[in-house]
Amino acid sequence: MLADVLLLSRITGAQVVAADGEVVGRLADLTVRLDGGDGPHLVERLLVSRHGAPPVLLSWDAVTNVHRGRPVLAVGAHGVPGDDLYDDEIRLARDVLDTQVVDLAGQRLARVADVVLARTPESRLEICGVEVGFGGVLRRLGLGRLVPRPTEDVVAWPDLHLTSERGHAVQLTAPRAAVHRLDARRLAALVSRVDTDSATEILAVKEPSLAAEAVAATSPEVGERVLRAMPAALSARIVAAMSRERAGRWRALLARRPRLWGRPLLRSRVWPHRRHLFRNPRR
Amino acid sequence: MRLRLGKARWAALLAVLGPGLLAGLSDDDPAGITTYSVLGADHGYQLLWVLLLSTIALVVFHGLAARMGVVTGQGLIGLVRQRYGVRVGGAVLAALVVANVGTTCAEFAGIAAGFELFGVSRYLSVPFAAVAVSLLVLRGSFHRVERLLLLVSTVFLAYIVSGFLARPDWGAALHGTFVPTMPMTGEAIAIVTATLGTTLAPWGLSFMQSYAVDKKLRTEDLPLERVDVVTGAVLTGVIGFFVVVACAATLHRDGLRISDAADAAVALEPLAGEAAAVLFGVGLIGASFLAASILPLSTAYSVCEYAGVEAALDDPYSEARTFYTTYGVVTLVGTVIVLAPDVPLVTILVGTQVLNAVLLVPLLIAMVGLARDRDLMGSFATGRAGTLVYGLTTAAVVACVLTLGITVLLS
Repeated sequence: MLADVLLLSRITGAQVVAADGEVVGRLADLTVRLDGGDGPHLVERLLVSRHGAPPVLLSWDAVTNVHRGRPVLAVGAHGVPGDDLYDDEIRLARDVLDTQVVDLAGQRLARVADVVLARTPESRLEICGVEVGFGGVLRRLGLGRLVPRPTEDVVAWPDLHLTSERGHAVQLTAPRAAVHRLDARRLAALVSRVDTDSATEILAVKEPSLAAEAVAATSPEVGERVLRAMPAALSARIVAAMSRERAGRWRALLARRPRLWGRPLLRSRVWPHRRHLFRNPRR
Repeated sequence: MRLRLGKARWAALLAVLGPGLLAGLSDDDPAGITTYSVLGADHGYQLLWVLLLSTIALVVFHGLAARMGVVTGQGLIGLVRQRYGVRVGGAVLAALVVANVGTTCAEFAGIAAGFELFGVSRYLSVPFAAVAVSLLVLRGSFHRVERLLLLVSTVFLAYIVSGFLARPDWGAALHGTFVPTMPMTGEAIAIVTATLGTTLAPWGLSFMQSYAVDKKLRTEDLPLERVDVVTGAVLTGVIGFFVVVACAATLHRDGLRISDAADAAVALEPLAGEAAAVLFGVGLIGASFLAASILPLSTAYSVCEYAGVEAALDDPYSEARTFYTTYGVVTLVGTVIVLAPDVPLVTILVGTQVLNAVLLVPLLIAMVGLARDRDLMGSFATGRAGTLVYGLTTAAVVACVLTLGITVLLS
């Protein structure tokens, strides 16, 4: 692993100190904005938990350096209440670490073992991606020696769809999020892997023509499950955007009662391991 | 909850049915049937109220597990890892796997004992059952597996018929069910705790939640899923009731004592007739087979959720190796231990019961914490009233486990 690569699990819990060396609190979390303009995704703020006082959010700009794993704050750094997040801001430890994510490139459902960060030349922290798989879990348990060979399996940040409550919701409203860059085939793969309610929410924010193509690209069972779960007006819009023949078939299908045992139960597909990120964290 | 069960509603209910029924009925496993048999044989109808309590606990926590699975789309162990971190999640998983392997041994021991009642050697019946449950899961689709397991669970009707054949004193049975009395002896405390502990099992809770996720139930399905959960829990209680009643009407009346469910089947024959004994034995085999299918499944779900390689029954082996390997290993270990000549099976089974009871306490506390978490549960998070109900139920289980621990230490 490269020296300028940091893992979230290793830095959370570290002491946060003021310029004079006084301990301010402990690093509880880091935040990132999902719609923060072009360029790499950078850590926006740090959440600091304090003994006997509510947690505060401090801008990463207030961090002058990270000394022995401890963020050092500039003189006069001021925070805001810990729950005062921007609309497009998520917390990495709460909304990403140990949660389920969909790897849009590898088309699989996985659980985040760690968040991979890298120091930039400007002393910022860039979010490279997330490590998934059991190797990272063993390492966090202090059992890294049990992993016979390096098993870093990292999904790049732009290839992720978060399934946590806030992560999913923020991504749907953030134009820069991966879910808004998907073609019909990859959109179909995503809605096949998330739960039904999330799938309907994803298709609801898409152009009806793209949603219609995505429904056509899913298995018939998934398409039926998702269309049936939508408000009637929305499913009607999506069906109307299909070709005349296909729309006729779907209207006939949706007019019938659902099959009793027809629910599809696919939660995983394809498990490719990708290890390039540790070698090139600034990809 | 108002449900107008027209044709479409019935169809929807049938589509949702499964998790609650299977998780509930599989709690009536050989350990459960043995506990109920001893409860009836030793205390007659007096402690039937415990079944009412355990049924309520089952409704409360299986309902919560289903709700958490449907709302979050994740199984219990996955959620524990997400909310409490890898260390707590790992500790819970490790205890759950050990307890599940031990419980799987109990299920295969039940199959061995059940078939031996009919003169079939355990060296034939246990490997046959292991292969059968493995093929069922490895070769079947989710719905085929679900339908077959639901079909197997109809064997529990045998206990109901067996209970009627024993001609019980229905008045005394109803009195024992609704008027709680408690002999303050160590033995009685132990059997009350065991009854609660075998009905509300950690593996049942984790299976319930994972299965609701695997079935892709939606929040709109929750009212019908509650029907599924209540039906499963009530059937579990009713079956337990008839086992207790059968043993109370015969074995307790004649002052006979038993040590396991197979004993009960043998002892029933001269008292309630051959049919009752045969039905009791058939019920034992069916119950064992159902639980022996579900225990490895529950373990496989939990291991995959923790390891982060989520998998489902419909996934082929090539895409869900961890899932199927876990299933196979748990089944194999259970089979080998039951068939090995010098393995202290009784010690393993007793240790497993204790581990299940102990594990239940942190698991219930974790579930209450998860249910209250608005980040996870959103508008479905538990409020104050719900927390009070879950807290009281958890407190009752904790009190039973503590009392049992103190009783064991004092004896």
